[in-house]
Amino acid sequence: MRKNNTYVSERSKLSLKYWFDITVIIYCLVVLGSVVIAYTITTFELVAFDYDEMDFDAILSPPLSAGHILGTDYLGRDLFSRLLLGTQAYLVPGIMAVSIAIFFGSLLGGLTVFGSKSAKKVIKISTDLLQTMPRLVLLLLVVAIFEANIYYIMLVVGITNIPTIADLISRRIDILRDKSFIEASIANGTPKYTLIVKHILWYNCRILLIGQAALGMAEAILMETSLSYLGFGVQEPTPSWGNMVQSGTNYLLQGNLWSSTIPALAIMFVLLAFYLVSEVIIKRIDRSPD
Amino acid sequence: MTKPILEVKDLSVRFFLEKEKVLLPALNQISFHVNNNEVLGIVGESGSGKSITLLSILGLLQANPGIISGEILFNANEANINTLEDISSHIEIENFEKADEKITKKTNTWNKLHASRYKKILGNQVSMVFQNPRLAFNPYYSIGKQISESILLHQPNTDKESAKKTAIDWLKRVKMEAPELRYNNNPYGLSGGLCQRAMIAMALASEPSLLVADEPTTGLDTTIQGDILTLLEEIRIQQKLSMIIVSHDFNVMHRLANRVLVYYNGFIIEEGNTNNILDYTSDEHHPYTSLLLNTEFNQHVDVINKTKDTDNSQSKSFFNQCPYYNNCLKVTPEISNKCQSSIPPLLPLHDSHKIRCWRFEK
Amino acid sequence: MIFRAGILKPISKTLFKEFFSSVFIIILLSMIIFFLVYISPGESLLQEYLLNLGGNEEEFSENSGPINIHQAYFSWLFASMSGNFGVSNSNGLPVLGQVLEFTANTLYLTFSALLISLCITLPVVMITVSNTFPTLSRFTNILIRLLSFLPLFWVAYILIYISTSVFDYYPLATDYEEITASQFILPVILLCLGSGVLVEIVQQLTYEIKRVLNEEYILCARAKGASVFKHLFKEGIAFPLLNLLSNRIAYLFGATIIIEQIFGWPGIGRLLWQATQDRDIPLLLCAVIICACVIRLSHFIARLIYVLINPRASHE
Repeated sequence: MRKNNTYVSERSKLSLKYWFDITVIIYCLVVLGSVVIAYTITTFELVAFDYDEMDFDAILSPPLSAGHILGTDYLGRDLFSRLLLGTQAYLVPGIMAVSIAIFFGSLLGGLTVFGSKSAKKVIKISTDLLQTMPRLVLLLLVVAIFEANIYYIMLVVGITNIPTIADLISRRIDILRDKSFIEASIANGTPKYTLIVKHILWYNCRILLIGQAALGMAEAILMETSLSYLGFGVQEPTPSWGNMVQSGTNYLLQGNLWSSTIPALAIMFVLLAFYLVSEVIIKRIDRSPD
Repeated sequence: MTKPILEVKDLSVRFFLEKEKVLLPALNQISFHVNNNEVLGIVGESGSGKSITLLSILGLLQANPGIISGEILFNANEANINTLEDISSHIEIENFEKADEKITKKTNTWNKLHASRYKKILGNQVSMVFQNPRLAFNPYYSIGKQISESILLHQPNTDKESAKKTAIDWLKRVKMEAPELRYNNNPYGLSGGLCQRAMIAMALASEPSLLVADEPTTGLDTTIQGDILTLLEEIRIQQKLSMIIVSHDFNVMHRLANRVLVYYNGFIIEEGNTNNILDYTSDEHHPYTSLLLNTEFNQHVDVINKTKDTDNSQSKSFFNQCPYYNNCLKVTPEISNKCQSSIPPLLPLHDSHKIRCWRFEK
Repeated sequence: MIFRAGILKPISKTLFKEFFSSVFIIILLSMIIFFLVYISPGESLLQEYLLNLGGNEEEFSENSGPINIHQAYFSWLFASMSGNFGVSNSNGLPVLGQVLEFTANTLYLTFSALLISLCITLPVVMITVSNTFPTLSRFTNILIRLLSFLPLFWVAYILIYISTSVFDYYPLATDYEEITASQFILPVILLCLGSGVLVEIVQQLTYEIKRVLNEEYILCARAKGASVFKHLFKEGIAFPLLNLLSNRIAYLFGATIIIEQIFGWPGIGRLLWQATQDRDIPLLLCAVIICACVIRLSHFIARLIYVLINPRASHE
């Protein structure tokens, strides 16, 4: 043992864990990559997909049938092209909802600890107010007053997620305050802004925030599907995965599984990819002893 | 001759740094023993492995791969309770470079086995006084409750009421004022000195035969340090305790210890009776110990000028040269070759005084 | 003994503070909802409702033009404070009794769902944290997420499909008076899976427990041979759970709408949805207020327990 002077060890290339990690990364790249590609293709209409063409000869046909890779829905529309187009309904609004929640959540969370007394009170009351309101009722009312637009829906989802994140952040800061690095950096003359953004939010809360971002994305997309079920989501004929699942379920009990299962699984796979990406990032940056 | 209460043989600890993929040697072939009714002091700079030694003795080291070899024996006559069996049967040390995951797995299973054995030891035979009592007490329970908890755990025949009485009694013995009131205090409501007293009370309440103290006076002001040391001394005599006391302060050693180990970079570099080690007029010291002694007792000595410029870029392998070679000022041309090519063993000087330096080779 | 010396003062202080803030929040909420109802299409319905409340008829008579919002709000507020929430537009029954009954049904569903999700998640968290079976814990973690990422109503339909085609049993609550256990199981399980409760509990609790396990007092507890779980419990499990559960109740009240709709469960979510659909303003206002009261009450209880078990709370 003593004669060894290179105490460097390599990760075993053959271990199960190694392959597992590789599979996860490839999976995330493939799924998220195809979502982004689908989004760009459909937005800039690089390839024309006719999502609204009805093929009455092949209503509710299973996957791999002639001309339709993933089959058709109850009007004979091609599920694959609708699936690709459905990404438009989610990607940007979902990211919007998540960023609203995270930005304002961490802002309010920071203010509850460092703000003035009256600011704290106002924040406490407004977050309590948001938590007290049943979220779906608020969504239904907003949809009733304005219109069933995905951006309004995601705005409400983002806003109603603010208290959760603000709460997490403020509790985290409360714990950090026991450790003396905050006082130390104040004594060092670190500006308050740098302290909050860099030392607290970035170094100490990013793991929490990344985890919450993945969860928030899931919540936003699932909320739209829920609203679709109640008939308030993205309106037909514009496809969204939510209203595709919804229209498919009407025929599910008669044994036509595919037209709802395919978009449902698509939702699951994409959300899983978001989650796994967050996990991979967390693993990379997590320095705390496990 | 009575058998030692604790015997540590060839303890080696490694940490695996996952990002750098480096196996960091934390402790190397540490061997020592604590006799009945004796106080062993451990001195060394921070990062030299003092606390790791304590944690491995108590089986609390949570690291990968952690302890890779060695034996820890409590009360040699019941040795089998806690012998670390030859670990090389569990871990193939030669294969460190290839299969770190296997090691992690094996050390994990081994640690679990180990933990179940330690259940009989912790609290009953050995208990620990932590460095920072405020962090070491659970902030959500009163200190009295935590003391009586350790009484209830280790003296199965007591009921809650008598445990409470004993706990108050212990608080009285560590010279807390108004112990009945303090019983209900939470740790954050106590000053550092009081907290440390309560910590000592908690460690002693389970009536161990060996008390392990990790820098018990660091972070307290000087007058309170003195009080705590007096208290430890008194209680040690009352309870006929053996003790291991870790500190970077020679005064603590002077007040309490019978024998002293000096640590440097995971090695024991000097070992001997307190009188021998603390004798700063003598020249029979490891160069590092003499540096420590000079800074402690002859404060006019300018330490900075006395250290050599370390050239880390040329530092060779950890295990191929004397651990202190890069900073050593006493290398003579005759032994310089030896210093550069091998680690000196602990060379006996006289009676129990041993020094890890080639200068003392006979 | 739970009651420590001097515990009564912080408790009464908390009770007092929380009660008044709750009242304030509920009044604020009622204003917002009232405003939203006011600006939503169908104004004449509001007028009709206010007439039915028995307010002074001259004020809101049909020919006096569009009603003033603050007048309308205050007349509603005073009426509802005296317990008179009016009668439903659709079936002519007093709304309060209806809402209370339906709320009880939903609470029944919600609490069972929370209980079951705790039973599922706690073992998973324990396995993950103790690191006994790393592969198993990883797969259960991913499995829980997979299940939670599926659209709720699709899972519901699949389960109904399986139940009808395999077991030849249609699990819908057709009779409101008698709900059997078998009709109860599917909605509860779905509510666990679909509302994100499982994921959130697993994620937060794992994070918190790992954080607390690194604290020095856990090491100290180990050193004296005490149970780590006991010392971990308050900070690592109880506080985050209190927070999570009290926050999740609000969310579950929303998520029940879909479950209740699919299974025909007579609950508050469905009532709310129908009220918005039919523009049944008295029913909607009353249901929102009662929901808010339940949610505030759960927060209140959580806060009370927190103050009771955390000696530091009284110092905050």
